[in-house]
Amino acid sequence: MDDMVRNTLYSSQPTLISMAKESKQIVLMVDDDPDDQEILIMALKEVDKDIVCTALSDSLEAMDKLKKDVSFVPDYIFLDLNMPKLNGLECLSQIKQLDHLRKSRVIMYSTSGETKIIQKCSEIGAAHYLVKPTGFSSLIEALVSIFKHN
Amino acid sequence: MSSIDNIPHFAGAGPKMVTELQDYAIILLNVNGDVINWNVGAERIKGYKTDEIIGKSFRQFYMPADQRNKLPEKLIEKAKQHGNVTHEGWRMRKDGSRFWGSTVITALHDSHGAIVNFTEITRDLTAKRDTDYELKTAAETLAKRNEALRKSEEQYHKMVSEVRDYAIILLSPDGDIMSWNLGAERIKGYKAEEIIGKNFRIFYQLQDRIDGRPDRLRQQAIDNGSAVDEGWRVRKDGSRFWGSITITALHADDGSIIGFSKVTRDLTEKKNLIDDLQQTSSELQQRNDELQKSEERYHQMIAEVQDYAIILLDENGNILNWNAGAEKIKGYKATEIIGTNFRIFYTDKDKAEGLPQKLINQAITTGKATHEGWRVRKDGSKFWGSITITALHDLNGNILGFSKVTRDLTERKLADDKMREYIIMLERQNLELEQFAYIASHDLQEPLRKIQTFADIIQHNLHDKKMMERYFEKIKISTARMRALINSLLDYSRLGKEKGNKIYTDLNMVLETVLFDFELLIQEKHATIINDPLPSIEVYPDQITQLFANLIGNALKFSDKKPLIQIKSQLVAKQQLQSPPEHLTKNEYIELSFQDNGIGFDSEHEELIFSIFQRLHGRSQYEGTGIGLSICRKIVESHSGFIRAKGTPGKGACFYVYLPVK
Repeated sequence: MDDMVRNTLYSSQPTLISMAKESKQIVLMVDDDPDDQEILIMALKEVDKDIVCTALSDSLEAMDKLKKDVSFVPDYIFLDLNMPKLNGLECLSQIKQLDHLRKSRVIMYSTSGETKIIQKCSEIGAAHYLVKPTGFSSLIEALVSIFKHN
Repeated sequence: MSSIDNIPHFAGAGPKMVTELQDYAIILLNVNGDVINWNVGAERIKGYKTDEIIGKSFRQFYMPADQRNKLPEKLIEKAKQHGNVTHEGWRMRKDGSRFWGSTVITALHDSHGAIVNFTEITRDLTAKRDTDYELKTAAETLAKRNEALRKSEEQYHKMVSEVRDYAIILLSPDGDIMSWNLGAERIKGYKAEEIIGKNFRIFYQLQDRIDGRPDRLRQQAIDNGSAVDEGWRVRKDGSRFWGSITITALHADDGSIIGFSKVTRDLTEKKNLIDDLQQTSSELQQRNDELQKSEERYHQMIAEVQDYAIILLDENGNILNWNAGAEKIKGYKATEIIGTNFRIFYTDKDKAEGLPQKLINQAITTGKATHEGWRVRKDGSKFWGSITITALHDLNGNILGFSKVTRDLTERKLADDKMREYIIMLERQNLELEQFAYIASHDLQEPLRKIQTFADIIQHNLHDKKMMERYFEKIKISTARMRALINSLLDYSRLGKEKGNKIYTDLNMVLETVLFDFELLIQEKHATIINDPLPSIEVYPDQITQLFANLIGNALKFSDKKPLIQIKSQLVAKQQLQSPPEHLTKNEYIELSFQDNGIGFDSEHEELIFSIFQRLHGRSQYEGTGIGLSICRKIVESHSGFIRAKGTPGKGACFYVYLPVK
């Protein structure tokens, strides 16, 4: 699936971000919905075609990996809020306790946009809160602005 | 010195005179005192005949005592010496009776002066003596009486004059005042000198005088001896007093009226007192009558009131009286219950907690105690009573007893309870609806969002056929999911409406139907289903079918090996249930257990799995809308039952369905 995504050219595209980078950006995505994974990764690729994406469906598995594999330091971690077993918030808290991930930017990714929850995520240390947009272009726009931020 | 012969007389008169004189005993005695001559008078007076007495001594005419004292001899001697002697005294007759004689004894001399004989002339003076005696006695008596009277009169006078509380006066026959006393002065105000001589009418009120009252009383005294009257009299200063008077007529020996005594007592105080008393008495009587009427009215009112039990308790809570309402509400008749303690109306639990005494104490301290709670009737049934106990006090503030008013509010309470239940149910339903709406919109948005995104992607990849195909497929999947969700939601919301009636259903038939529906999936998964014979109970058949379908479907879906499903049933009593939910109303339940060997779940999530849309597993792994178990719970609850689940991760899960048996 990754190949397919990589080979896609999204024509009338907004500006490609050219960044001065020493290495390729690494993105970890944790979401139990395969469609959402696919969409996000596709969008990311549009933003940065060199981006390296990893998608994991099981939050427990994901956390396990993050804890054990200290060499794996994503630049961005996208967390779906609504997941079985360990939900997004719990993952966020745990990530924030991991020293080697202190530079990783965690972005909460959810369908709900409740102020309370957004506040909570911010308190715990999320870098951004992204409401799953309706439509592909809006998603790309949102991602651009997130990356620009940095 | 005389002799008979010398008595001037006519010839022969002497002897005749003597012999025939009847009133005088004239006898001749010799010198020794013996009788020589006798006459008729002597016979008459002394009783002896001539021949009886001639020659006998004159001594026997004298009383024995005189004879002993030698009185006859003494008289003879005196006659000898003085010529004659006179003596009065008792003499004795022949028959022994005595007479009062006046005796003259004269000595008769011869020519030489020697005593020859004596004459004794006796006159019988008995009668005269009696009269004299009587007179004397009478005179003496009169004198004594007179003295006594005088003394008495003196005393009375003193008494009368000095008595202060009674006017005691004397009136003339015409009613003029003859005497006055201290009491009269005190009572009527006049001094003696001012009033004596005036008529007693003066004391009467003008109207009485016009009516002739004084004279009427006077006449009454004359006719009856006395007259008694009470009335207003007038004092000297014009003020009046209430006098009690007695006028007594005084009579002379011949019965004529010599005057009246009038005794007056001033009873003004007493009269005022009596008037007051009468006034008070009549007021009291009136009050009494009013109170009685009032009491009757109240009694009637209370007695006949049927909707309230109004009873009296003594200071210990024992029942003193009863009314129609009490009988109606509590079931006891008056005769059965009076004297019993009011504790009898309370439930055992309330009695154990001392509620009756608490209420009494509250009434004592604050005057009143109110309470609402279950009470017990005579037949043991319960009613919801609203009661007020009021303490009753006497004038000193001591507790006399209590009044207890009870109203049967059972109907209202039941209605209230129902209302409350209904409200709770409504609130719960409301909450469900809110959750439902929230979750529904939330969960539906997800596929919707995806469809939009996919459409977006397609639009920009119109040249890429493969891409388009891929995403059209995804769109279809999402729409299918939406449909599934919407259908589940509709199923869920429909539960409760259009239930229809419970029907006595054979659960084996239900199972058969469901297994038939799942035939393909069963084959695909190579599943084995084992079941005990299932009972027949009253259920909503469509709902139960769905329940079975959901549970069996889950068991088939959530498995990673060949599914083995075991279905069992048993009868369970309420008491046997382990931690049953609250408010279970039935006593017996059928327990249906659905045991699978699927992926199981963490017992931590026992409650969670029944929540709407709650999924324990990622969407990619196992299908399911997440509503299935919520629907199961709703179905079971609509039968007044409940559902439980136990699971072991990796081993399997067991779902327990409890349905009440009638």
